[in-house]
Amino acid sequence: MSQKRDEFVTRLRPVGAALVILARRLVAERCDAEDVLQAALGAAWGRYAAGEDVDNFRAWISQFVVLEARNHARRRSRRQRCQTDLADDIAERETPSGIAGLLEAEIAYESCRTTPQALAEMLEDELVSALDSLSEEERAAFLLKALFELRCSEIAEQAQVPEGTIMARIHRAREKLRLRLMADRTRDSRSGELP
Amino acid sequence: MNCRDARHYLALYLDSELESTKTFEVSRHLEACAACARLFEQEQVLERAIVERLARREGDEEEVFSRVLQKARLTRERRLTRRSLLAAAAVLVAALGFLWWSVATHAAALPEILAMAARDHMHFVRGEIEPICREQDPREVSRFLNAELQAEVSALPHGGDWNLLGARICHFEGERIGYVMLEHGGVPVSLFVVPERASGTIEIDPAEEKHCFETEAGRGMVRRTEDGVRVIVGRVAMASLEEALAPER
Repeated sequence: MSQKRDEFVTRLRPVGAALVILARRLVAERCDAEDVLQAALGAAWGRYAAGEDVDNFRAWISQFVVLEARNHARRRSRRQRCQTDLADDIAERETPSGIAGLLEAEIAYESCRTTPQALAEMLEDELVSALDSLSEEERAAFLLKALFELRCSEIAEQAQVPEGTIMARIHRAREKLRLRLMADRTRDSRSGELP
Repeated sequence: MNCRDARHYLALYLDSELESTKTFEVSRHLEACAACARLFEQEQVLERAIVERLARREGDEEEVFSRVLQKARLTRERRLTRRSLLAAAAVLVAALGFLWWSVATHAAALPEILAMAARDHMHFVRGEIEPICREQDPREVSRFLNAELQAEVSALPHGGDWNLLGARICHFEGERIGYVMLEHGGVPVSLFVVPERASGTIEIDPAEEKHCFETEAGRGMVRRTEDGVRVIVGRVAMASLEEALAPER
C-alpha cells in the first residue's frame, strides 16, 4: 500500500501548486481552500487506493477539488443565505440599468477590447470578485480550462456531462466575467478613479 | 467564410476547440480580413490577461501543498519506509519536539490527534491560520460547529480569563472536527472538538479519564466528553486546561 501511496503522491506533485490555486479560486473564503484541498486529496486517494484506473490524472484529480468545493459551498450556503441576499441587493442597486446602462456597458466593452492591457492592469482584485458572479458549474469549467488547460472533452468526461454543456458553461463564464469587469470599469469611470 | 461566421467561431478558435476544417477556414479569413484579425488579436490578449491573473502564484503554493499532503496523511508513511522506525521516531522528536511526556495509553489514534493538535496550534500561534467563524459568543460558535459537524457541540470555554476568538473546521482520520481558537489571559489556546463518530479509535485510559501531554506547542490535555473527545493545547497552566475541559462546563 505504501508503494501505491508513493505512486499517488508522485503523480500529484506536478499539479500540486495548480491544485492549490484552483481550490483558492473555487472557494470564497481563502482559509477554507486548504481544508477543501485536504478533503479532495483524501477522497481521491481513497479511490486511487481502491484501484480506480486513472489515465488522465490531471483531469481526474482536478475534479475532486471541484466536487469538494461544491460540497463545501452547499454546506455553507444555508448559513450564508441571508448575507448573500443582502449583497445581491446592494450589487443590483449599484448596477446601471435601462438604455443608459447598456450604453455605458457598450462603451466600456469597446474600451476594454481596444486597450486590453489597460483592463489587465485593474484586474487584480476585480477578477477574483468577478468569479463570484459565475455559477458553480461555470466557474469550475472556466477554471479547469484556464488553470489546467484541459480540453472541453476532458472536462466533460470527468464531470460526466456532454461536451456541448461544458462549451456552453465556458462561453457563459467568459461573457459574465467580461460583463462584470466592464461593470466595474464603468462604475470606476463614473467615480473618476480611472486615469 | 465571411466576417459574421468567423466571429461566431471566435471563442472556439481561440480555445483550439474548433474542428480542423473550420480552423483552416477561420485562419484563411483572418489572413484576408484586417478588421477580424485585429478583433481576434485583441480578444486573445484580453483572454490571456484574465488567465494569467487567475493562474498567478502567490509564492506559498508549494508549501501549502506539502502541508496539505501531510495533513491528509499522504506523506507520513513514506518517511517511515525510508528509515527504520527508531530513526523515524528520532527525526520526529528532534524536528518537532514531539511528545516528550505522553504514554498513558496504547491507543492507535491518540498520538496522531496529539501531533495534529500541536501542529495546528503552532500554525495558529504564528498567525498562519484564522477562524472562519469569527463569533465571540459561545452560542454562535456552537451553532457554527453544530452545522458544520452535524453534531451537538456545547459547553465551550468562555468568561473569566477565557476569550473566544472563533472557530474553523479541520480533518482527522478523514472526518471533520471542530477547531475552537481561544485566548486564556492573552495566551493562545486551541481546543479541538472530535465528534463521537470520529473519536472511536482515540482510547483514553478509563482509570485516568484524561490524558495529559506536553509538546513544543505547550501543555495539552485529552478528555472524553459527552459529545466525543476534546483536545486542548496552549502555554497555560494545566489547571486552566482542565477547567476548560471540565465535564460540568
